[in-house]
Amino acid sequence: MNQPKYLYKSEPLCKHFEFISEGVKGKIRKMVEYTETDAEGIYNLGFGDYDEKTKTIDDINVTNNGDSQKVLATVASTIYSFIKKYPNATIFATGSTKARTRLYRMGISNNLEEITKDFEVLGFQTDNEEWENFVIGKEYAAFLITKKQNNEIRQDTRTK
Amino acid sequence: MKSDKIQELNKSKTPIVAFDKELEKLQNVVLFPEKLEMANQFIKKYGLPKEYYEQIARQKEEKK
Repeated sequence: MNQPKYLYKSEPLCKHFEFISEGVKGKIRKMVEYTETDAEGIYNLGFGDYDEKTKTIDDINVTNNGDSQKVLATVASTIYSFIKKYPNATIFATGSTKARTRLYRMGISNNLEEITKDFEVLGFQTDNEEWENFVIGKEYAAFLITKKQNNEIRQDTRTK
Repeated sequence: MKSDKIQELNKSKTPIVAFDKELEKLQNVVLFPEKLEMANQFIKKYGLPKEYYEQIARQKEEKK
């Protein structure tokens, strides 16, 4: 992706990533984590701020450090590293709050052109309780991201 | 030459990933347990695209 992004660190399993956001509120340590869910091959995307004082991670609040585009581009780029390591994995993402889900939606929307070159992106619509191809401007409760050539999910209508 | 390299890095989809010994300690740790639980509940309640289940069934069939 051509957008500016932060340099990040990882570990050999490529399930944990860390980077430092630098903005109006100073330096904030960000953590990204991919954890397998009860559904085989589906990995939950966890993302939040590491609080140096409490040694805990906050995935509720939106930080407003003035660099959200760069942060989201960085999180999006960790998907490439993760999928490179686990090419058959599908990433599940939803926000802890509606604001966080909107943030994810914004991140996907802003990077959709690039992301869809390599990935299939689905959104879950709560109105009709269906998964569908991600459409910019539509509200979704959750997202699924998977590498294109490994995904056989290609239909427009998606039901469980 | 050097600036070409920087340009190339800026355009790359994945930034250079540095491995961190400290992060290795997290390999068996779930940092977002509530979020994971939320994801499990969501999938349990709403399910995944039907093609996912078909794919899993096919993979299991192939393993037999």
